Amino acid sequence: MHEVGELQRDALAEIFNIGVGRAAASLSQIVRDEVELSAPQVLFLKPEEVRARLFSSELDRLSLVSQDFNGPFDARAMLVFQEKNALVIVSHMLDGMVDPEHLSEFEQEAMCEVGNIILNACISALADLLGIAFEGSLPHYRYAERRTLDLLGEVQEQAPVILLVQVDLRIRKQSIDGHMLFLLSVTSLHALLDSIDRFLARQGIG
Amino acid sequence: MDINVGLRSVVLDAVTGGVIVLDATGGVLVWNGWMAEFGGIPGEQAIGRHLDEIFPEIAATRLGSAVSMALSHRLAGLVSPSLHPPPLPLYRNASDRKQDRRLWQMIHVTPIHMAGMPACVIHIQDVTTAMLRERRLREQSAELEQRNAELQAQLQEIRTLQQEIAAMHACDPLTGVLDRRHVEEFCLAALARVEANGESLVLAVVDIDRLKEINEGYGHASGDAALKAAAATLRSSLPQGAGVGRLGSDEFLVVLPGMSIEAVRGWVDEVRRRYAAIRVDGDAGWGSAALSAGLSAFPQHGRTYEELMQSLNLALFLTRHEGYDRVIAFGEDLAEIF
Repeated sequence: MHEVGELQRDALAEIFNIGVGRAAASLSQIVRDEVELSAPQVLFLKPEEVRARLFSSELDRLSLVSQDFNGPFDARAMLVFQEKNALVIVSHMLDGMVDPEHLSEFEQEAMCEVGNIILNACISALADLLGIAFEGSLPHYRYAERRTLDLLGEVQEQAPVILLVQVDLRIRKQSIDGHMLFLLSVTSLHALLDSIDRFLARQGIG
Repeated sequence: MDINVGLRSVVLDAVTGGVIVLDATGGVLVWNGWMAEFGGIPGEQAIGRHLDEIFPEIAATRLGSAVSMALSHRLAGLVSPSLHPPPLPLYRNASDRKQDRRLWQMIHVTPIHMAGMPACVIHIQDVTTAMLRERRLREQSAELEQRNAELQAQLQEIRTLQQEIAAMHACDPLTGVLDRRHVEEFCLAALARVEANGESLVLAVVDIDRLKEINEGYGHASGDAALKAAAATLRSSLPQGAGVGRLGSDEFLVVLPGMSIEAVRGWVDEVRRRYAAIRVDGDAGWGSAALSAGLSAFPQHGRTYEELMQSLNLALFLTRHEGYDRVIAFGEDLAEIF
């Protein structure tokens, strides 16, 4: 989205890196081993661009953890991993055997909590740094295939813009990449950008 | 009592699961009957106190941070049993409590407003049954995995044995050289190869002279010893790339690719000389035997296995006709005779 300035994007990238850093500390505690998280890229994209980015092939299945946030701006936040990557994460977390095909109910709950930790850490970082407050729902877990990725469509009306944050997770020398998505309406996008502008102004930038 | 308050407490006590409501500072506002029963702390002792005070151990746990996230940032959280040991000291019965065997907990922490004030609900579900089932499934699955690995190893062993058996089947059990079928296959493959490469090939049929007489006169053990000695002599000096197999009772076929008939004649003569020097000890103390051979060459004496075998048999027949203990090649030698 051309209306989002580079400065605003950089500020968001910084905030998200603080957020995932907090999440990494919590996850490390669970795994009892170092978990590193970084958010190397922040982009504002249209839903169809996101769809193209998330699915490298028709066969891909995605594992999604979503939570709704309401506050000065509303967003549906999602943590998205290729299902095979979600299996890798969960197998590290559960320290043991995981069905190589699908996540069992318990593994889905584990993944749900991983998503909850990462998303809450990012939203709380946003709230702390931008000086705003949200209310966040419980996380939900679901699968998506390319043809059923209507969760983007279903909110497309209200969410013409998606804030996409690339997430790199490193655990026991294994690198796993995923994405965080924030589905935003035009109103919410503007409210987010206003908050960032105020944040930049407080820092004496912008 | 306010009817709503009364109703609320009846409903909360009827819920199968723990319900705790905390005010913005972490003070307990609601503590339902389930919490009293499984936590062993009655509501009147819990309400008004801080959760950290009731359960000091949760401070540094994921549940502790989920509660503070809900209170400070109003963000909901879940603490799943698959990632954490049970965080709260809740027990199904007295004996579990005695052994500190906590029930497994699925915990949801949700920010709410109570009487217009920010608060949060902690909802605890007992998932022990499901968790134990899951664990058992995991254990069974691990066991299956191991059994599977063992079976795979056994299968590999069986395959190796099968290969060894197949190799043994390719050999004549008495003499250890190839059996008829496999020496023929060897010959056909060699013929195809030399034809494609424009090379020569010589076939030799080596026969033990008067084997029948040896068998009858000195016993079958002597005959077998003569066969074994012939096979060993042929094998021990076999030129590179050549193959040897047993065609029938007293005949060996030697396939010699890339050699001239003269070179093969020289080799066969050497084999015959060495064989004649061997003492074969049989039941009746029999001594030594002789070898005869017929030779035919590709392509001059035949282009196919059948043609070459026909000329060989003719040559071999002539060795008998001529009184044994000799080598006859098809072609010139025969021309001399007829």
